Amino acid sequence: MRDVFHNASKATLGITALVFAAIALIGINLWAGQGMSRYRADLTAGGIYTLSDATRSVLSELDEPVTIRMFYTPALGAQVPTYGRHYDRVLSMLRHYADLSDGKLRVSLVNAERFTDEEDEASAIGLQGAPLPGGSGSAFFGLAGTNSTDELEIIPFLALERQNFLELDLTRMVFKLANAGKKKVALMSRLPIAGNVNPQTGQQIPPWAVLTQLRDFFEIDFLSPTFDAVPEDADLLLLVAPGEINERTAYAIDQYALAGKPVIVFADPYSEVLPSARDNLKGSPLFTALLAAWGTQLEADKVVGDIDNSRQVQFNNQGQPAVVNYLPWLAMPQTSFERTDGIFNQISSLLFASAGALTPVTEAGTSFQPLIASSPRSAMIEVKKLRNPNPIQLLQTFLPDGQQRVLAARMRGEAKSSFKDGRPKDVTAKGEHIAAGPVNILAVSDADMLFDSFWAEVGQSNGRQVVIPRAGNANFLINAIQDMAGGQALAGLRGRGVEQRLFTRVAQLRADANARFRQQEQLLNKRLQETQKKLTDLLSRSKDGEVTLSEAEQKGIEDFRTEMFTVRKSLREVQRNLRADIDALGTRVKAVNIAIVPLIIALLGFFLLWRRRSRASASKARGVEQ
Amino acid sequence: MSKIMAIFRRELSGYFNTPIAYVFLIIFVMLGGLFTFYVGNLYERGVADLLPYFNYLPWLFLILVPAISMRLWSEERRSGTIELLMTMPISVWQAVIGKWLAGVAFVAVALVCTVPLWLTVNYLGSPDNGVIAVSYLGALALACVFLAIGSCMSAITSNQVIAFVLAVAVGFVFVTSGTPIVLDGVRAVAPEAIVSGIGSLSVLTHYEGLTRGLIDMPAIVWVVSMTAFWLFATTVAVELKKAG
Repeated sequence: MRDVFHNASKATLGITALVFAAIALIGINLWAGQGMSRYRADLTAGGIYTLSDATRSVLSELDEPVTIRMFYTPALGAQVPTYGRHYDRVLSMLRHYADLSDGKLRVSLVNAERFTDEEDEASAIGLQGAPLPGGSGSAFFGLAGTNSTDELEIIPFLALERQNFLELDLTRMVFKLANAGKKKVALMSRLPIAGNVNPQTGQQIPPWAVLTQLRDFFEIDFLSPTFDAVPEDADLLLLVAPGEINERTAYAIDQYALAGKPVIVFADPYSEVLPSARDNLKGSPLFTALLAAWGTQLEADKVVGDIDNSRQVQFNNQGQPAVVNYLPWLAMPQTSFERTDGIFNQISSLLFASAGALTPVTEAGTSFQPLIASSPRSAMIEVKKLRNPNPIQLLQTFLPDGQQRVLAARMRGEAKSSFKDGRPKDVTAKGEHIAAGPVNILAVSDADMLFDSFWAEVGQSNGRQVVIPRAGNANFLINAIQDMAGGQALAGLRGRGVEQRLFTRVAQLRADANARFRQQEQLLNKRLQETQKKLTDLLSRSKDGEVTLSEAEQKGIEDFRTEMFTVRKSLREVQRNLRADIDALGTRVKAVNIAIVPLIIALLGFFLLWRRRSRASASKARGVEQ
Repeated sequence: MSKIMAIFRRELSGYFNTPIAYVFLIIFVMLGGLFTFYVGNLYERGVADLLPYFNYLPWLFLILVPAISMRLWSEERRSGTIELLMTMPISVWQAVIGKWLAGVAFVAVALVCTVPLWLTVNYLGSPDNGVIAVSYLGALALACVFLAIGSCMSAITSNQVIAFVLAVAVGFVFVTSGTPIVLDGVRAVAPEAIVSGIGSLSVLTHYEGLTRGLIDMPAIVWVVSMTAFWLFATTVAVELKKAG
């Protein structure tokens, strides 16, 4: 009797203990999820989950209170778990921000459930609702930030595509609200950076994505291409493909630069963006004179081709789509940068589309500091070859000369005015004519690199524009302006995008294979064309003059036809071979991992078991003997 | 401590004394490789990381780890050696931990056998090795939890098959506990607090951060608390089943 009772109470005790333990388990995990997520170790190579110094300094320098409200519809996370996790991440980052801000940043959550006042408020502010799967309405997942002067900054929807840029977006929002006093940039360009209207369709063309990014950090003041004077309060002058400038404008730029104010100029020998205005963009003698006075010149009508850094493009090669390296389009890696210059902070690559080569002008007396240089396997390509480009032909006629070309450079030091005779007669300007002064110039030999499609993917997510950068072009410009105009607050804050680390070995194989087989293909094609020509010659002769062909000639025709057949067959084989090496590597890799390694384990197993068994039987034998 | 190690050694040598361990290792490596290359398309994808491997690992563990844990206690119970074990001068919890540690060690060996995959991506490109290292730790931690669950299921029954099926089922619940399948079901019978509670126990929530190279406190708390709970449950189960 006592035993049964004992067992029963033991069971009860056990079960009760388990129930309490279960409650404790759930409780501790809930609590940890809420309060402990800030304690973490970021073991990624780029430290992409660690907050940058720039964020910390923006937050610690906050002197006015800023409030960020997160509007969230829980149904979104419940129905789409990846968004649920994203919500957790954003919340934990915001909480971390609040911690770092010493109380100046306040974060609050707003539950934007369906049919509530909060939901209406979210719409009113301008947050974007996303349709829930299953058509059960829309969900909100956005931020609304306000400061003490009731300015409003919003992130309409925290798209998953921009999750790697979360820190950038949040800090930028805080920075804008903190009103750190933006620097003013005077911008003049012949390119439609601010957007324009398509003359044919009347449609509005949106401004370039780079402009939107610039506006987050600076105040942009657009100048007309014939401006008379640079605004006095401009902290920096930015010229992007200024084209033909008149005397007044040239003088204004000249004097601005000699006053020691920073100038960034994007000069382009060949515009991919605006083909119709290509000639205008090449620039006038006045512009060339300005550059020369500052210490540089841009080789006209020629662009840099660099085989080591060229990008691959899809090209229709006689009806066959092919992937080929296009020499003028460059992907410049970090190794081509002057890395000691802070302008390259957090930039891992820059994309160029037909850039010129900058060379120093020593007579100017300024220092010429190259910032980006091509590889020695480069040569200049005439601009006329780019009008109807044939990448394969460019490759064929390419003769690298071992010289590196400069794509971007700084010019600093004492320079002389390009107006040797002083102020032109019909120009009125304030103050005395400056004949010489210290200049601070940054020249880049390509303006196309700022155009959307050459550095980013601009897409739509829930009806909003989402920009995913493929290279650091925009950041490069932002860094440059900050470096030269002052305002270091946000240096180092960049979207730490998770760069795709690709299979370099496979890429190498592909490049090698392409090089090898393109040559072969060209030879075969040439033979094919020659043979074809001979054949048509023969055939046309026999038709025209009603001349009957001799037997030899008839055999000749047969031979030609056979040769054409053989050549075509070889061509097809060449095209197949392009992938052969890559596929072979893939098969080897898979075989090793799926078959060889298990085989090794099996052999090891056999060996170990056999040894154990023989040892066991040996000791048994010994035992018996005794 | 030495008692735990004694049980540990006994259990682990038991694995390797028979071909079972090697068969398991071979299957683990092959399945892992097949999933990674043919379902996850690691090579064609062209990106130097092991995400295709680690994304499938929880599901692979779900089936394979219970195969390790199912014999921890059921076998002893069935063959009667459990009585022998209980007469030894060790406490139940020491035996529980010893056996569980042996399972963990074995899974660690299995994971080491997949290091060729790591070497492969390093040969093909230059991946973020910090992320991969953390992912391996995450996988081992996940195995610790699954083993703890499995050892409890194994202690409840003397039939290995039932132990296996139970372990897979419970494991499945935890793997999916962050998804609407489970949460909606719980929501129907329990208050929202419990629902968030169940959600916070989800495997995928915590594992995902680890595969991206981030070790955060909630993940550590989850691993430690889940393992502790299920090992405690195992101890209770073994105690209760003790004769008399």
